[in-house]
Amino acid sequence: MVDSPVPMRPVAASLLLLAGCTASTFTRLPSPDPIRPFVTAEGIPAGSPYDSLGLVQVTRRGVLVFGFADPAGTEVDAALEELELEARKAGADGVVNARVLKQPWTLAERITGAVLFFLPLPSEVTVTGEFVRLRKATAGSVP
Amino acid sequence: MKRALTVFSALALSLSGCSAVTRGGALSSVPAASDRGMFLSTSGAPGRYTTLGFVQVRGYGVQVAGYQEAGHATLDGPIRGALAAEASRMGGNGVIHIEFLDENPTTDFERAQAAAQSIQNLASGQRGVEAKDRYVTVTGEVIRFEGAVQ
Repeated sequence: MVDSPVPMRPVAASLLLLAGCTASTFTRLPSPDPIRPFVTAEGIPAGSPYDSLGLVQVTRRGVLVFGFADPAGTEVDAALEELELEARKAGADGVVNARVLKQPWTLAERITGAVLFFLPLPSEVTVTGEFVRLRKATAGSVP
Repeated sequence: MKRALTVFSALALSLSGCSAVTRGGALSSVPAASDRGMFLSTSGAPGRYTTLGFVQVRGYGVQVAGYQEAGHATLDGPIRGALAAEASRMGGNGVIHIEFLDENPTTDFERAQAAAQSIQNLASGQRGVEAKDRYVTVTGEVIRFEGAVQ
């Protein structure tokens, strides 16, 4: 066996430690639909008339069972669904300046959660925003 | 049997009452109903303005027995109270790009749990009612409009 100039064991161990250190979370919004309230991270464009209907924050909290199962619905799409429901209740056309806050678990942490299944991982997602009703000049159009 | 109960309780806990919705009152509309008072918005300004600075307010309160709120850990309190007062003190007549976060909202399940625990404590005479610290943080950009608010 030829001696490698790079010590392989420490490199492999470092790679193993570093792999799965990035956690990402995403959600895909449905196509724009004039019947559904819109949700956007932007504000109302300058000059567009609108009425503010109030601020809202939706928080969903639960645990991940076996590292991956999410029976309580603590993913971003579940929070957005609830936000949409609240927007309908408030009579809003949509939610502007929406902000999402979620601390995702890395793959390594989820696998650890699956192995140590008796220790469920706490999970939480928060979405904030402002309900608005667009005035007639722009009603129906997503800003 | 005990094991089954524990599993059932864990499952019930993970499925039930996991959601908390915090609501705050309406901010300013555009065009504003009146050019008096403080213009408050999570969006930008509807006219020309000068930025005077930035402000952050952290409202503190206590939730008693899961349902009774005391203090300023609501969305309306810090925004209409401390945030607007601070902006006014800086010489501003508006706060834009307002961001807010109810740091530890209580889910329906947690409310019910705190209420039940409080009743149990009072009935047994051992401890008092359950109390939970609550925090709301609000930030914004303080501005002064050049001319009337549109």
